[in-house]
Amino acid sequence: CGDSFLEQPIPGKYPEEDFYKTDEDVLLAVTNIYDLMSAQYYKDWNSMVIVKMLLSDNCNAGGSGFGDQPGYQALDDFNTDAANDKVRAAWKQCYEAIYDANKVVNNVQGETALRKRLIAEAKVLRAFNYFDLVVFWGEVPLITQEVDPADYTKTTRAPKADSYALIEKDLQEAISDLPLKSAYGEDEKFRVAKGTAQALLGKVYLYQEKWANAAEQFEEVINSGEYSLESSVAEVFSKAGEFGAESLFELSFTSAEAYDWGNFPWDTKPESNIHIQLIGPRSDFYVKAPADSLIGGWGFITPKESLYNAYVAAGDESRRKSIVMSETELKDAGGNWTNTEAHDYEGFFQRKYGTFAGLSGDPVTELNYGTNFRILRYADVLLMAAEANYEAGNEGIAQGYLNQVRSRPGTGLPDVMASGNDLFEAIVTERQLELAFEGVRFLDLVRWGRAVQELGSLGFVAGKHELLPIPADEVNVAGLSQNAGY
Amino acid sequence: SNGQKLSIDDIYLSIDAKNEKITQVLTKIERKTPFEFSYFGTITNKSQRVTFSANNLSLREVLEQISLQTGFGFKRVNDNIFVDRLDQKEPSVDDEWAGQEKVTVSGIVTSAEDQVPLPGVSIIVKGTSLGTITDVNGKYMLTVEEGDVLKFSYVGFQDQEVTVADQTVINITLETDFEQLEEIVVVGYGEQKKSLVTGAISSIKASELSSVSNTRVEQALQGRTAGVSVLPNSGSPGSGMKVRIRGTGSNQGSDPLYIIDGVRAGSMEYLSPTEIESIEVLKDAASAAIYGAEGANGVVIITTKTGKANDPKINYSFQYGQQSIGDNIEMMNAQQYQQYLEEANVPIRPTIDDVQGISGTNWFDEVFENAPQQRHSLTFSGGNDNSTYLVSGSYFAQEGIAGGDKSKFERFTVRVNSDHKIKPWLKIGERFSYSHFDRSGIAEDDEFGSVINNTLAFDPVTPVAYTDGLPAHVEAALAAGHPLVKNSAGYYYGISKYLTGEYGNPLARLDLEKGNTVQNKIVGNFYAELEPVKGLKVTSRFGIDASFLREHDWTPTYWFSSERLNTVANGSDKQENAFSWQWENFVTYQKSFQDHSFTFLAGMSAVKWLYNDINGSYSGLFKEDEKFSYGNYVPDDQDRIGSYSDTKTLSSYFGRVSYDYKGKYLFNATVRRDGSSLLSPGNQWGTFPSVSAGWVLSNESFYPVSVSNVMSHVKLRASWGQNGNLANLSIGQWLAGISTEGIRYPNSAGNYLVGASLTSLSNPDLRWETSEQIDVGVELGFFNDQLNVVVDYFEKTTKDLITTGTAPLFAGKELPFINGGDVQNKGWEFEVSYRNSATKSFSYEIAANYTAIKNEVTYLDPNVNRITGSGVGTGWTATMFEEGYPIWYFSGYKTDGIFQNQEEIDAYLTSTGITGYSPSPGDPVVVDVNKDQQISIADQTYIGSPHPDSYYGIRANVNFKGFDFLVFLQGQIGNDILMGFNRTDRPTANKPLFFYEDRWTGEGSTNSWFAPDGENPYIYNSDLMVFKGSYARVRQLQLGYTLPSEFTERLKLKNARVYVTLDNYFTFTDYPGLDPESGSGDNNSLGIDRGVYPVPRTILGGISVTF
Repeated sequence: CGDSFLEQPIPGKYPEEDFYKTDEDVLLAVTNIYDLMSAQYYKDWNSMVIVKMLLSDNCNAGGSGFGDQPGYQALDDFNTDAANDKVRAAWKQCYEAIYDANKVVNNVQGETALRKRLIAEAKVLRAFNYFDLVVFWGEVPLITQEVDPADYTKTTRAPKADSYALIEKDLQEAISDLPLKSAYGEDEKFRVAKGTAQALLGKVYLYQEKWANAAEQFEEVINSGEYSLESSVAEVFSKAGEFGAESLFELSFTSAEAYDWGNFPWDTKPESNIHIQLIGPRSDFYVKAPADSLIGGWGFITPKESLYNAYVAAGDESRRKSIVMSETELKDAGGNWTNTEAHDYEGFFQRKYGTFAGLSGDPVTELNYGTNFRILRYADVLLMAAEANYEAGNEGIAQGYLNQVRSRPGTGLPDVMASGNDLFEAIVTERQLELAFEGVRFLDLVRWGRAVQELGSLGFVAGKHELLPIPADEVNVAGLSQNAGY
Repeated sequence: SNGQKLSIDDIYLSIDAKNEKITQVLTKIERKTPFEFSYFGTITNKSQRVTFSANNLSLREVLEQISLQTGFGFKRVNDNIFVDRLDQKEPSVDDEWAGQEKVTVSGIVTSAEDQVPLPGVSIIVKGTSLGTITDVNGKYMLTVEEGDVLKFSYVGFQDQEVTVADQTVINITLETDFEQLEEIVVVGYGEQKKSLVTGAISSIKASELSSVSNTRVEQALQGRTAGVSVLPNSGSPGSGMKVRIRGTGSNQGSDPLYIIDGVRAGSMEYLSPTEIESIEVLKDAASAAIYGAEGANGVVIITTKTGKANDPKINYSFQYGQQSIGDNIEMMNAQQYQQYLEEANVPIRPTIDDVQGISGTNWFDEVFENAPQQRHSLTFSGGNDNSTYLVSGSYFAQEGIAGGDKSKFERFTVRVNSDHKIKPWLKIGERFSYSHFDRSGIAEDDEFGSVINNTLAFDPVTPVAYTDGLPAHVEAALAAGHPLVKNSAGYYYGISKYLTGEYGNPLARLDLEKGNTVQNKIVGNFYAELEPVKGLKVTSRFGIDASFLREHDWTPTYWFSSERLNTVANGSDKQENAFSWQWENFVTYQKSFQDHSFTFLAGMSAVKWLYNDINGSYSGLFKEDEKFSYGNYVPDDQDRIGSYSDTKTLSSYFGRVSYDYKGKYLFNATVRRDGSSLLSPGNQWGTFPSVSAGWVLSNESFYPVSVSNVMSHVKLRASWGQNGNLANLSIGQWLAGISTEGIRYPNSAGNYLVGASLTSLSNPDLRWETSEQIDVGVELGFFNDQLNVVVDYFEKTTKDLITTGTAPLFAGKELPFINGGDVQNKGWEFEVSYRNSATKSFSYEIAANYTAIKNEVTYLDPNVNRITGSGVGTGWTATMFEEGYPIWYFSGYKTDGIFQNQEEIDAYLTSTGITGYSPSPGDPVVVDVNKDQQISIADQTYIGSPHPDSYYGIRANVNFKGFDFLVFLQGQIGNDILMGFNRTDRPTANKPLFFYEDRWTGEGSTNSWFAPDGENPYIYNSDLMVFKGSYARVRQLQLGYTLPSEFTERLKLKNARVYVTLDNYFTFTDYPGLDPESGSGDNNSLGIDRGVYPVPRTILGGISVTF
């Protein structure tokens, strides 16, 4: 038996060096990056979207008790440490997307218009992930090539400026190669468009307090005419609102898989959005109102009373109703809640990402929610544009953008005419109310220096909790330095 | 016949001689008498002639005549008549009988085990070359002298010596010789005399296996030999076993290599213990190294039975038993459950009124039942000097103690073994077996709603079924259109008001279990053995292992809760074909000159494994019935199909030299070179050498007789060797490639786009995992080897452990496998056995083995840090693989007593500075292990090890007048068990009774158990859930009776034995869960009790008859 006896085919694996050669190859490779970013549940509960929600003062962790998903409970309680599995998974997911984006950027030359566009998409997605890394972990390893095993322990955390430079460069290059959203067919609206890159670049500038640059990018988006506000927040988060007028970037899920309890892929990546079920009102205690389609879930992400009160204080009744429902409202509508002592329960139910029966599919409602996660939408762009202009000294423009959001029919709030700090406060409030449960509140509070003030009572410690811990593996294995306080 | 005193006076003969040479005459006399003549050298003229005529004269008279004519003298001593030249005038004939009179003895030699006559038993008069052998009926006749010692010996039986007195019939019963049978030990590619073995090899013989109730052969290994630990994955019928030889050497597969009749076996469930002649366990590296690749976790060599020449036999054996659950775990009853939940302030709970006057449902009583098992085995064997054959068949059926035929195992086996000597230089033969099994299993070993877990967790308030009206919540569920399950009497099964989620009524769950697995398997090999020159043997052997496995399952619609329901009846099928062939050619050459003996072995082997499967699932069954549970009968839109195929190969070359000098100095060296298709080109080949040596001190001339009278046998041996292991690998895992598997993304029109990506990082440097072991042993025999002691010390180090690599997360992909660490197992093994002299009608034997072992991960690649293992419940990683700790140790919170009051809590928080942690009195004191002043996941630390410090087996046999009695005890010491069936997110699940009885009820009540609580991770993810797992289990308690031969002869039987046995009947343990053997199929889940099917206890009766 010679060595030829030992040469047996390896099924199912195509050589890397033969790939990235055709349009079809590159389409497959880029689709994979989108898919990776939507892997919010991947063998375990590990969603970056949920992590972002938990850090805010919008909600508590919830669930059956504080033994239910301790990693999420710890994030909510600012009791997180480097061993937190959710933090690790979020970090890992960013770098997985970056790995595949790097492959496209490095292996594809842009020989055709399509490939040029796909490279640009990959760059935007890489920028998205690096931005998450920078804002949540600060200095992070800046990986743009396959890491040689010899460098596993030699790689260090790059200065934030380096990461920002890469993010900005990627986005600037992508902006010139990407089409407008309207140039995509209806089936391709999930792709990042020129406006997506511009809005993200604006956000990146905003976080660096490069106000004028930020305002410039936001205005490119606003003036492109590609985007507009839906009639209400409820509309944005409805089925019809998906990839709609207000959408700049979403993670796509489907209710078409017909998952049941026997075939749900708990060990891989489901195509439905199981997090919607996770964050529905806990069905043990929740009795839905007859005319309402909000049904029971597993009770995570319970709204805080302070959030409800913020709407009340702002007289923001109609928008609030599509975001938070009170126990009283539930009971008035004929529903019921049977346990006032439920874990992390403050008397409110979340409706933005609601467990609405109609958003799921057969045969098992719990497992087939197709709700997309809205990552970047036009209302956010307008409010960021308002903030950037305010900071850049253009208060009038700022008021205009702010009031566009407030005057949306489904919101119907009076225009803000304030200036100076009052205007800023109005923007702060507007962002809290409009964007609750969308993962921006915590980051806003941190960059505004208001985290201790708003989150201190929840356990936030200044100088520590602005950043998440570097996952223990990276510290112990790769020798990365740890963030302060962890 | 009658014994006679033989004297020259008593032997009469008639003889005529006419001038014949004296030598001719004496030769004639020799022919007519039992005597031989011996001539002293002084006789110069043997050509003297004599003439005489004797008619019925005594020998003395004849000799006197001759003496007179020749002047020779005759002196008879025993059988010899010495002839001397005397030159005397008087005749000289002396008869020096001295009382040593000739006796003709006869008798029959039978086997003690089955009373079967033994043909070919050799009988020699000690100190002479005189002897005979028994005929085909076991009979013999021999003329000896009084006072002679007869030695009866037969391969496989103990030698027996009898001094001839005045008896004329000597019937002998030979005891099967467990020790002597081991005289020949099966080693890789050959056999070796046990006395010459230099490695650590343990043997188990057929007689130990003949009446076991075990389904599987691995199970029968449990407790029988030192260094081998066997843990069932479950007690359910037909479930697999975890066999570990000298510890867990690897973080994933650590199963030994099984060689059945010389051929690698894919699995073991197809063998019935009744088919086995012997099992050898090669424990040290030097013994296993001849198998190189795959020998790293030890080798188990199984030899099946064959026929014996001139011994035609029909054996039928039958066994019937009843299994039952052993010591039941006590759970809280309805009252206790209500009170516990109330005290724990669990939001959903029954009120006192709900449980008024009811003790509730004991789910264990409801789920578990007595279940039968039976086995039939029929064997025909025999042959002649040129051909032997064995044809056997067996049937085994076992129902489960949970679910009856829902968890059953049924197996048929057929075997044909034969050997033919075609020419003096050519022998051929085959070992061939067909098996069929049908297994149904129920869900277990899963804290997310398996049947067994539900039996533990389901609340006692809910009734089994509603025979008398439905409560409101059930009416509501029916009104909502949910398909509630009915029992066979037509009543709805109880639906819990309190425990929902993934849980469901365990009896209803059992009703819904529909799956089964059927396997047809053919395993066999053909061989030819040439011996062109004496001592040189060339063997070629070709074996196949083909198994065809079919799994079928379907699920009716049902509803227990919004998370445990099925709205569309569905089914699934899987067809799995595994085929392998193995071709081996090897040459052995044996050569001895003077006192040196050499055996050389050289050979090659090639193995190819081909595997393919096809599986599908479908839903929308037309009717909820087995007949409609196949994919052809559903609308096509919900069908899914999957399939897979791969091929792997292994190519090997090997050699061995064995040498011994006078049986005193022993030496062995082996080398094996293996190439595997699982590794990248350039890394495919590994070389695995070994050396071993022995010194039989008791064979030395200087070994004092005074010592050998007591210590009859002393052997010292030592070995070193390396073995390979690729068990953790499958096809192409070193290679990253582009794949579209599972990558789909719904586009904005809701249609799927396919994506493609590299599957992982690549590791082309992946190489063989190597296990290196040193072994030092001593074998001692005392009192003529009645007492035997074997002691071994070993150190086994698994190097270049193939483990899941953890590249830094920022590298962007997982590194599936790397050579990442070292694992060491070191320890001591003791085997002691004593048997009394077998000739006594009362005989007994006691054998014990003990293994002390320490397991530790001694090195982990800095790029790996530690590897996270198995999760328990929601969000707890409960096992870890880390340097400096045992493999897959338990990791969790460490507690230090119970907070008795608020002052204690305040003092604790103040002194430690811990923030963000607000326990209540009755909660455990959680230790801030990393001193970061918060209690969080990073405080989880080592809280226990699933590995025992030691394990042992003790076996005692007593035989008296046909009765035999056996006690067999097995146990382990020092392992921990993690009680993993309680989940923090399901506080309404029922708990074991001791949770209630031992609970903290106020200041000073207890400092070891907590206040009622169903959700606190500092309790359920802590050392409070770790319990001592030591146990001792009486595996077998057996009483047998062999019918006396007078009786069996009348029935034309060779042998008949009846027995009753209690298997696994008594267990001694402090573990408060269901079964201390709570195993798990997952390697990283060892010792976690998620609710495992307990090992049943069995009462069996059996009969074995040989014609």
